Formats: sequence, C-alpha cells, structure tokens
Amino acid sequence: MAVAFPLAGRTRAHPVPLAWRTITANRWRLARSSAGIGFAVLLMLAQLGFENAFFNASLQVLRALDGDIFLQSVHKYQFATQDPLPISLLATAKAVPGVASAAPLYADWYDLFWKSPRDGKSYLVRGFAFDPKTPVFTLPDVNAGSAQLQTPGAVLTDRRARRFLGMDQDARQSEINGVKVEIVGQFALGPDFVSDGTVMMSPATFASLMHGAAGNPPGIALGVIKLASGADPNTVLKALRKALPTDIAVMTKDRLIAFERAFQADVSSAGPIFAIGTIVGFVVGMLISYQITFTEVSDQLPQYATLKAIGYPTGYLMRVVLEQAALNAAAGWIPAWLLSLGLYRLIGYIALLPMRMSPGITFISLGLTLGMCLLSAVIAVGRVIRADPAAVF
Amino acid sequence: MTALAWRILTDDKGRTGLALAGIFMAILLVFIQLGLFFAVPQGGMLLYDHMRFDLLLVSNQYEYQAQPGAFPASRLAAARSSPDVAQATPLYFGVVKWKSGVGDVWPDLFVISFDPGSDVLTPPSIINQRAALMRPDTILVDSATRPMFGPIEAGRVVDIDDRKQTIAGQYVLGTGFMGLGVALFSEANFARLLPHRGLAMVNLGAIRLKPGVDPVRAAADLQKLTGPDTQLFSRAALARRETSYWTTRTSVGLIFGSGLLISIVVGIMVVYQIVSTQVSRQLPQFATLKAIGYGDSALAGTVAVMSLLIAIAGFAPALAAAALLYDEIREKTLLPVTLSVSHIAEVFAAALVMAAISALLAVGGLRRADPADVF
Amino acid sequence: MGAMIAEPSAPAAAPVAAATTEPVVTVDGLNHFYGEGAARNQVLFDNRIEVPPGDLVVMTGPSGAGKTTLLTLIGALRSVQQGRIEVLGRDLSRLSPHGLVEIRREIGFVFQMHNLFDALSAYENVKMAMQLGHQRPDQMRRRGSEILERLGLGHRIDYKPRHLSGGERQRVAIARALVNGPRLVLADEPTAALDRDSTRKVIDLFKAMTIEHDAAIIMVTHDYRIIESADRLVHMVDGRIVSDVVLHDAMRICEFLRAIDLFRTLTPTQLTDVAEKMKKRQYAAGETIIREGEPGEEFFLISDGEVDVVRADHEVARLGRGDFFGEVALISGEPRNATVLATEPLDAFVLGKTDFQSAIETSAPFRDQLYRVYFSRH
Repeated sequence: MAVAFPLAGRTRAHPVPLAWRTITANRWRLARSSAGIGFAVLLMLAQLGFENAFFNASLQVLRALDGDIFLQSVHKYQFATQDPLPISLLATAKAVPGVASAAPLYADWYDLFWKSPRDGKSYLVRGFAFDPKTPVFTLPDVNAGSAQLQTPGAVLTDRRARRFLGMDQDARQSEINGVKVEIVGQFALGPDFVSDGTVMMSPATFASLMHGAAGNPPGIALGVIKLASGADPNTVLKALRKALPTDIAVMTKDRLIAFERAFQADVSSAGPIFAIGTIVGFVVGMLISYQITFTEVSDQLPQYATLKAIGYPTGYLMRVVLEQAALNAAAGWIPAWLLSLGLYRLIGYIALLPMRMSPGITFISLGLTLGMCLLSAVIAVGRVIRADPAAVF
Repeated sequence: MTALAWRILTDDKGRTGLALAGIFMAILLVFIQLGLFFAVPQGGMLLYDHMRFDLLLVSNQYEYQAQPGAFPASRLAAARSSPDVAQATPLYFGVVKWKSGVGDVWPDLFVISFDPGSDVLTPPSIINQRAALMRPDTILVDSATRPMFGPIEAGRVVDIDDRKQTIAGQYVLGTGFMGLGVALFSEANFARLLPHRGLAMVNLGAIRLKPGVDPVRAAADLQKLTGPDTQLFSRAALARRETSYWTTRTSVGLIFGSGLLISIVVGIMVVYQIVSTQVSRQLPQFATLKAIGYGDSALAGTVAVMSLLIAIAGFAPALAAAALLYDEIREKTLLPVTLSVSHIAEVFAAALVMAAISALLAVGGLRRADPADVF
Repeated sequence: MGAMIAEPSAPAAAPVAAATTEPVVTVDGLNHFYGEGAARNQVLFDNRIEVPPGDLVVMTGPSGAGKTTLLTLIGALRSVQQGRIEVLGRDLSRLSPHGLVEIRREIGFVFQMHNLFDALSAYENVKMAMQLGHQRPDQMRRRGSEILERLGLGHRIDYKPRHLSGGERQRVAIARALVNGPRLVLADEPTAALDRDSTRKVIDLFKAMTIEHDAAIIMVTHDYRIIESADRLVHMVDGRIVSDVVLHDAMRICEFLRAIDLFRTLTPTQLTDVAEKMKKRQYAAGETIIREGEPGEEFFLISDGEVDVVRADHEVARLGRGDFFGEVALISGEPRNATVLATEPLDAFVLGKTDFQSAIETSAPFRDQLYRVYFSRH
C-alpha cells in the first residue's frame, strides 16, 4: 500500500469508495461472506476465551487477595497445595518497617467435605479462613459478611460454585465434615480446575472442621502483607527477605499471580491446546476469506483491467483489494465479536467459567482476523497485478 | 448427476483445491476437538484400563478415580466371603510430599499401594518389577511423572514425607488425573510412610469373579454383603460413570464440546461457501439444464454429490493429519488422545453431515437459476 | 508552394490551443510481434499514420487485421517493439512503465465491453475517471452530470449498471472516457450496443470533442453511421495499412467532380479513385499557383476560396469553389497559357499529371469532352 495515489492531492475530497461499494453492493453475498469469516472468527474467539477463562479460573482467587506482599513456603509450586507456614512468621513480618499489617490466610483443598443441600451428598470443597477483623479479600460480599464469621460454625458460601454443591440454594444450614455449619452469607467466585466450590470461615471454625480442635489451625497457607502508606515495596520486600527464614518466599502480588500462571501453563498444556484451535480457526478463516476475495477479484477482473488501462496504477488496485479484505474482516469480526459476548455468557453460565471479553482478546482476535483476510488478499491480489490492461480491448 | 458434479469439480481445479483445503481443516478441527473431548474421560479411566477386575468396590462417596472416598477393609472381606468372588484385592491411595523436587519445590506425589504379590495392576513393567516393592522403603515411579520431581532413576534415594525411599525403577502407566507424579508402594511400605492413614480404610476394591458369574447379578448380590456405604461397578458401568463425571461435572466436556460444535459449524460454512460459489458461477449452465427439462431435484442432487465428493476427498488427508497431530498432542499434553475406529466413524459421519447441511444451504442458491435467463 | 497540411481548419477558440498543429499521434515504421522464438508471429507491418488534432479517424478491416493491436499500442497499453509511436508529443518507447500509466490518463478509452463496476452508480463510474483528471472535486458532480445528460442519461445518473440497458451502460462507459476532455480518444466498436438515437448522441459528442477540445479520435468500427461522420478512413488488412483516406475531402472532391462536365460520365468508383488520388493543398492570399509559360504538371480543383486567371497581365477570369484549372497544359502538353493567383486563402485539391492522364484515359468520351470544354473556354 506504499504506492501513493498520484493525484490524491486534488481528489482526496471524496474519492469513490470502490472497495466499500463492492462489498456492500450485494447484501446476500455480504451476509454469506460475513457468516463464513464470522464463524471462523467465532472459533478463534471461543478458543481465546477458553484459554483466558482457564487461567482466570485459577488466578481469580489470587487477584481477589487484598495485599501488597505475600509470604508462602518456598516449597509451594502451586496455590492449591498444602505447605503450611507457622503463624509466628506474621509477627516477624509485622515488625519490619513499612509493613502496616500481616494477616493470615488459611486454606485447604482436600479435606473439607461439604454436604450439598441439593442432593444431601458430600463433596470436596475448597475452604479459606481468615481473621474476620483483618479481611484478606477484596470481594465486597466477603468483607460485608466477615463480621458474622465470628460466630463459631459460621460460613460464607460461593453462589457461583458448581450446581451440584447446592450453594446457590437458600439453605441456611449445612454440614462440613459432618459438623453443622451456619450459612451467614454468600459471595461470587466460581470453581477452578481443582475445586468445585469454596467456603469461607474464621480460623477457629476452620480448625474445628479440619482438626476437630479449638483455637487457630496449626499453619497458614499465605501471609498477606499490606504496606504502610508511602513505603517502598522493594525496600520492604528486601527487608522481609532478610527478616524471614530462607524457606519463606516473599513476593509481590504480580509475582504471586505470575508464579501460579506459569505453573498452570506448564502443567496443563492449556496454551498449546487452545492455540491449536485458534490456529485452525485462522487457517479456515484464511481459506474462506481467500475464496471470497478471489471470487470478488475474478468477477471484477475486466473492470480492474479497465482501471489499469485508463491510468490507475497497480498500487491503487492492490489497495482496493486489500481494503475489501479489511472490510470483509470487519464484516466478519464485528458480528462474531458481538456473538462471542453471548457465547461467553452462555458458557460462563453453564460451565461456571470466568469467560470474559477482554481488551486483549478483542485486539488479538481483531488482529488475527485482519491478518487472515489481508494475507489471503495478498495471495489473491496477484490476479489483479497480472491483469492485462491491453486485454480489455 | 455424479458425472456432472465430478466435471464441475475437476473443471475448476483451483477452486476445488481450496474447497478440499477448507474441508480438510474443518475435519481436522473436528478430529482435534473430538480427540480432546474423549481424551479427558480416557485420562480418568487410565488406571482402570490397567487394572484387573470384574467388579469395583468403592465408597458411596465415590467421585472419580483419584477421589474415590474410602471404605472399611471389612467390606472387602465381606465381599470375599461370597461364593461368586474369586479374589478381592484392596488398593490404597494417598497424597504425600515429594521433598526431592527440582530446586526447593516439594511436589505432591500420588501414591498407589497394592499387594505386590497380586497381579491387580497389569502393565508388564509393573508385573516385572513388582517384586522390588517387597523391599522396605522401595518404590516404583510412573514414567510420566513430571520433570519437577527430578530424575526418576533406579537407585535414586528420595525424601518422601521425611522418609528416605529408594526408586527401584519406572513403570509405564500414566499419571492421568491423579497428579503430577505417581508412585507405587507395597502395603507395608505405605503403612510405614503413613502410619496414621494405615490400611484400615480401602480406596478401591478390585473384585474378580469366578468364571461364568454374571457381573451385573453378582454386583446386586454383593451389594447386600458390602452394605450401603459402598457401591459396586461393573467395568461398563464404571466407564459410563467416569465419562459422565468428566463430561458433565467439569468444564472440560463443555469446553471441547462447544469447540466441537463450532468446528462443525465452521466446516459447514467452508463447504457451503465453496459449493455455493460454484453454484452461482455455474448458474447459467444450471439454468440451461433446467431449460432443457432437468428437474430441481436432479440439480439439487448434483450439488449434494459435489458437497459429498468434497467432504469425502477432504476426509482422508484430514485423518492422516489427525493421526500425526494426535501423537503431537499426546506428547505435549500427556492426554491419552487416541484415534479409535469409533472416533474415525464419528468424524466421518460429522463430515457427511457438514456436507449435507452445506449442500442444503447451497441448493437455496440454485433455485435462483431461472431457465428464462438463458435467452 | 504552400504548406502541405492535411487538416481542417482548427476552431479559433480551441481550449487546448498550445501546439495544435503538432500531430496528436505519430506512428512510424511500427512492427509488432506476438509470441516468442519459433512461435513469433508478426501482426503489424511497417505501420505509419499521423493523426492531427481534431481528426476523427475510423479504422476498418477484417478481424485479425491488427486494428486492436495498433489501438492498444497507441494507447500505451502494450510496449512498442519496433518503430516509433509518439502520443501527445511523447515517445512511448522511451517511457517508463510509470510514464505509460501517466500518459494513459490523458487518453480516453472506450472499450467494446463497457466494464462498468456493478457496485458503482453511473455517476460514480464516471467519477472513477474524473479522479485521475484535473477536475476540482467540487466540480465533479456538475461535470459528471453534464456529460451524462449530453449522452441522454440525465435521468439515470445515480442508477447502478444493473438497472441500465446495454446501450445506456455503453454510454456511461463513453462518458467515462470523455469526461476528462482527453486530447486523444481510442475507441473499439463504441456503438455496437447502441440504437440509432443513442448512436446519434454518441457521434455528436465525439464530433463535439473534435471541435471543442480539438481532440483526435481513433476508432475501430464498422458502423457506417460513424464512417459517414469520419474525417479519415484507415483500412487495415493483414497488419498493413492499405489505405488512409481523408474521407471528408474525398467525398467533397467527388461532389465537385460530378458537377464538372469532364467527369460526368465516370462511374462512382472511378470518381472515388480520382478523388483518392487528389491531394489537399493550401495557398496563402496573393500566392501564385501556376505561372504562364511554365510546363504543366498538375490539375487543380478549388475546394474553398477564389483565384484570378491572368494572361499577359490581364485578368481573364475569376474562378471559385468547385471550379478547376490547369488541365489545358496537361492535355495539350504545352506550357501554361496563363498565371493563376490566389486572391484569398485557398484550399485546393491537386491531381498529378500522370494520375490526371490515366483518369481521362478511363472513358472514351472523356477526351472529346475535355477538348470540347477546352475549346469552349477559349
């Protein structure tokens, strides 16, 4: 498209929008090509959405943590493993200058059996416990309900948990590990690939459910540190590392999330699985787009040759074909993107996956769509370049 | 009709090539999604596929293989007392810390404990090496155990829950959804490692029936002996149960299921796009045929044959590519993606359905062929 | 001798006045080949043609004669292989591909197939050409409508080609070719799809182009309605230009000749033969055309203007349009018996001695008539 339109200076005002007219002339054909490209785009959007949801499902609980710096065992390679730390660490951390608070998060993935109000059967759920006076989540529902967690046996449940857990029902009571619990509120988090649902409670309730003991549980999963206002995170990070034993990993929230993401990516192969789907969508889209552009170009070949004959440079014609491809891309992408919002909602609702449209997915899908259409147009444009203006006579 | 369809397709080789490429990609996509869709329950079935049993006795808390709940060993003894039962072998599961990971990492190890004297686990590499498990604190480790566990070499001594264990060798079974690493323990070593856990609670009871006993009837009879806190599955019932768990209780089924659905729609769009362009390009010829007295159905038949030819021609290379890609996916994801005859038949059926639907859509364009337009 | 310029007088108010006397197209020694090596096939043989501004040249000939090839070469749509083509003062063989594209913008092309964009309205199709020209964007609509109106498409300006008849589409294509006021128009069977009325409109517009814009038009056509209006008729056979007739003059000569007793008995074919051999020549006012006592070499027919015939300084006659002189010396073989002076700018058709003599041989009564005329004048 580097070939400048030589007379542009004089005619720029309103040149005939040839590509636009060509695309919009035949509505039936436009609908057909839009559907063809659109479904390929939808396929890519679905794959990108799944990939995003896969990681988001694992990461959303970490994102919901309300802290600046986190402490966990160096032996921990994944959030959903038990590598408890002694709670005494928090006192050490709190003494470090710049630390405003150091709160414990207790967590368990493998020992809490929740009795579903729906079918009365028991299912494994994830449990979090924290001191109701120092909430560690940013989830508003959790913080609103945290005061009521002081009552022994009080729990908050996840209304986005998988349906069979019955947490979306209005039950006020249930059992965990055979012990009666009081449901004092709900929050929205959703399942991930380890757990189907989550309950939150006070450390005392947690200890009694887990170990049948009163008082605090023996170890914490995560130390949640908030910085005093004005404190430099790096300085505090270094100070904490110095103050704490070497088997304690001290990391920022970003690092914590990146660490989990790296593990999921390494272990799950979600990346390659969804990449295959995206690539296939791209190739299929390219084929469809090539077919469309090729047909459009062949049908208008005499017209293009005529334009060449009357003095349009080849560059102009290439630009028109590429513009057509870009318009086709837009005509396929826009409905597909809108449709994907519905698809995401539907799958998000059915699968309880955090399927969310993001600027990243929007731009990547738009880029891929433009890429596949322009790439196929570049292949198809050869016919226009080779169109012989002498052949029109 | 077939001849005409064939002529139209071979006449415009470039366009037909494009159609083939399109349907090839679409079918390949269906293969991938279907492969992944079934790979997950197959991953769940991995251990069972390598276990010898006619009936499986499990807790009524049973979720899936790696989360089966537990039942008292006495239930298995009760089953053993039945005249139908030839053998009843317990398996014990546990999750422990492998403290010899790469770096400071302590990955969770899934432990399967069984009587090394029994042949309940069938992989030859287990049968051949199981005698080693009789030695104290000696284990066999699954060859698919992740690299973060460090090298899995015979003779390496590792720290598992603060107890030194010697790796006797690797066996080939697969980790499935049990965890990142799996190891086999003898019952004695297991009890030594997890003294609180002990052997009083059994996770799986592998029951072998005497020859000629009907598993379904035996299951009903045994249920009376083992009590309401247990349940019994025949192999077929277990396969149904696992498949249903993975496809309905997790997101996996939905993800690949919807991927499958979209790929079929995309396949339809590709074939439709190409066939309908062919039709509209050949519209005058079709109109001529109409003018000389061909019926709509004959022309529709031609379009249908065109679609079918494209679908069938695209299927074979897609099958070949899928076979290659499955190997790749298996290696990358450790999912047991396998090309079974039933998958091939299903995908072929999907290809035919795609062709049929796209033909149906393209025939709509054919109706625009007006015989009066010829003149 | 006067300047040998075979062009009709240019209108005084020609908008492109510069270099109007320079030929718009000069083709010299043009050979062209298709294919390579053994398959090489010559399609044009030593073509020569010169087209001045304002000429409507019609090319005829059987298909495969090379008309279209010649047209595409002149139109800078093919590269020149051998020989020279100058278009609008530029040597095509020396132009870069970019230069060829540039020069094509100054040529109006009318193709046999209209090749309009189905997606664009009649006006937009015309605008596609205007974008390449010198129209100001705010004038385009007015200019486009104007030319479409002149072609009888005023009510179809915003119609898509799908809603136009074949003839209307062709007229849109013609409007596209002419809208930038090109100084050269190349057309291939432009009226093939047109009815009588449309053809009339198209011809009028073409003629107007030659007059108002001093444009040269080269057209391949077999439509005699156009041939009637043509200035020149170029006939090609097998890649050669076999005749290049200034058609308008030949017909005028025939008309004149038919009125002269001398030639009355000639058949139309014989008349045309004579006419085609006559050359047009211009003389300034006061110029001597033949001088008494000189040997006679040519026969003259006055196309326009007046002459005095002077013998021994006495004016013996004044001759005007349609009159002739110079025949006596050719018939008698004697020197000129009088001097002839142009009293005002003179257009004359001139026939050489040999051609004149072979013409009068054509019919037996001719010589007698000629003598009778000769003696009656003395």
